[in-house]
Amino acid sequence: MRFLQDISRSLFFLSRWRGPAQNPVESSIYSAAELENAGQKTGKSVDFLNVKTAEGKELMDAVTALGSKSSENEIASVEAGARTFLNKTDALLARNEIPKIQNTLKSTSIDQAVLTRFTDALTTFRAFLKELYTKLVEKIAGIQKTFQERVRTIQTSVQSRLDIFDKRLFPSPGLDSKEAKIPKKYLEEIIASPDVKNKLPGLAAECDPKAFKGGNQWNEGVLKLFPPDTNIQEVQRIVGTKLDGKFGPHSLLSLLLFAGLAKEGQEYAHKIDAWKAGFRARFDSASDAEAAYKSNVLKVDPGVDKDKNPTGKPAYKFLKEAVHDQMAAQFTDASAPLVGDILQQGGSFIFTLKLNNRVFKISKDMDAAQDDTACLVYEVYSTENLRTKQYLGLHTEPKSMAEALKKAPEPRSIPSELPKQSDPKPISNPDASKRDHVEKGETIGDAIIDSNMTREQALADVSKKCPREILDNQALVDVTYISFDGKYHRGQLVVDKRLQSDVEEVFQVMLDTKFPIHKVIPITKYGWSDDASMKDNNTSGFNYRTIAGGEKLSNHAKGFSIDINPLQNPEVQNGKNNPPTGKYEKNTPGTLTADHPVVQKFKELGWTWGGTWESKQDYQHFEKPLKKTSGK
Amino acid sequence: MVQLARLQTAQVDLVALIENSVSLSAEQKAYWKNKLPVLSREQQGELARIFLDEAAQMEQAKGQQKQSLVTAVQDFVVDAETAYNREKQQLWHGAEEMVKHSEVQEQEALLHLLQPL
Repeated sequence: MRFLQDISRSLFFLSRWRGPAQNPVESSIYSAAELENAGQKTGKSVDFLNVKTAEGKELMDAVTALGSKSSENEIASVEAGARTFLNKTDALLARNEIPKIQNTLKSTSIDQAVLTRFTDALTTFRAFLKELYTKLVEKIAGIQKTFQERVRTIQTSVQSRLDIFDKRLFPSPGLDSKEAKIPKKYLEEIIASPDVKNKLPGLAAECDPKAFKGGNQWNEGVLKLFPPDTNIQEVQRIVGTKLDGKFGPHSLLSLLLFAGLAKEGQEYAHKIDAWKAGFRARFDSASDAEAAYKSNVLKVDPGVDKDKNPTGKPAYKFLKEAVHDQMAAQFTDASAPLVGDILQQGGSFIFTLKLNNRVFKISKDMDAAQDDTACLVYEVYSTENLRTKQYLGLHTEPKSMAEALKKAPEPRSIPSELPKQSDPKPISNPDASKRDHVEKGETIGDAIIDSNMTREQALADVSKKCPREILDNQALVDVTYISFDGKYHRGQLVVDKRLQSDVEEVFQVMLDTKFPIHKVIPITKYGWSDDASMKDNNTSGFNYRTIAGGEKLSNHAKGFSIDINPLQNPEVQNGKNNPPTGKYEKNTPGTLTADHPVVQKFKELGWTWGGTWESKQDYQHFEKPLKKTSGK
Repeated sequence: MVQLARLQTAQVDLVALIENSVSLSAEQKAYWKNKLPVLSREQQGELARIFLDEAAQMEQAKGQQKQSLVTAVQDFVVDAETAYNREKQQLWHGAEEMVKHSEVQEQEALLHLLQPL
């Protein structure tokens, strides 16, 4: 830092300079007396300047720091040093120190013009330095911004690579490649047809074939095109002949196919699947579908076809069972019992087979079932001891079911992460049937039944004050969970029917994260007593009651609230727990914390958690009050 | 290179790689950690490579950021020095003139005045 060295050298020179005072101004205005006087004046000002001197040292230090530090770690302090320097000079200028000094020295022998030049030069230098500093700050901000953008690019790239990797590991056959290849030409024809243009004016705009990538892209775009009062048969008339089962259940084309199926009948299992996909896309639940059919919004109902549907059940239920039967029939060649329900996940069906004490979880793409190309065994584990469940490996896309089972890899010893047992006692519940069966509860399909009521039973003996409107809105939701015995259990929860899908999603998260739930039984079992239910560590929802110690109706009274594991998640107010036997310890299994995936899921779905309340912490409590209690 | 060698000898701690990733949410980290047991060694290697690439890119980005910051500060210092050099003639000439034309006591006062600068 040459300029700093110059300063030092000059100061040194000045401090040593003791030559005779020569007055270059021939007509000196200063007499000896005046000079003496000036000396006295400046002598007085020395104190004032001494103060400045201390401050000056800080300034010098700050400026020196600018030059001496350049490593990354010290950049912040360099910046701070520059800022300090400028602040100090700013302060000097702002406080008009220089004019003060000028005033102090005014009556001395110093040439005022020289002093002015000096202070002007100082001001110029300082102004320029400030400009430089501003640029430095801007530059640093720019560098940080560039860095953040770079990080975002890296993150996007990693996410994208992981997505591809994930899909390859656990593919959803038919979702991407197959659909992307087939439908374009058909789609272009369909979009170009005048009928479609007239009936579905948004179609061409929403579904540009050139931008078509397949998969769920279509669902979103196309669902928008079907207003609630769409006459599906009309759509069917337009597009039915074009599609003829060539498209999978996942795209718009599946929805168009859904329309086409009404004409074709259920000839193929994959068409049923597509139809079901259409139902599910349009109607969240079976009750929605039923209501829509009854109110004539839904015009197509396979349930009325007695030949195809001898059960006479409503459409949605019929479809579910039809798919189930179809799947069961298809895999009889494996001589393996089907365990549990068939679950639909995206366009694939997931079902579980048990063979020689090994459980095979299998994803079968219904669209590809036609040519029997895609069958994914994605999880295989031993049933010997579910608590030390062993993942055996995975295998993708064998040609047939039999081949899939043959190719399933051999066991590998990898411990699972099932919850630790905090409550070793198995739950006592008279509703649980066949409890003496050793393997009961070791698979989802073999879950221990904690509650198996009808809706009427679940709402029996409810308070007579409960309005009809509220009762009608309550849905009995079947839920599966892992209890504290490490086994799968099945229970039931009563909530407002509009919250049913939320509840199902949350319980799925509980299963995924192996979050243990003690039991879930409608509170009628406890004579509608919240205390009794809590004492039994029961998870519950609807209960027509007032809030504790008040007359205001609780959100439970409308089925808008759920209490989970009350003993692990008690209500805590003024140091008292409710239930009194409850204890909130964050590390105990079954305990809810702010960062727990279950709490996060509830929040994501718009629920409020009582654990974050200020006046009291009701850790078991979640609520999502809906505005109107009438149906959709 | 060291990491690559370690990867080849399957000594890379995949859990640590996932934990250290700046691209994944906590939920995604849990997802991938849970998936590890069902991955073959080759698949684990593939996964590790994604995270090692990420780490290398991050290292590079940080290096560039550091270099840019150092350059920015150095530029600032050089510019400040240049500005000083431009002004110093005026500055110090004025100062020297003032000192020359002052009496001893005044010189002392001036030294004090100049010192802060």
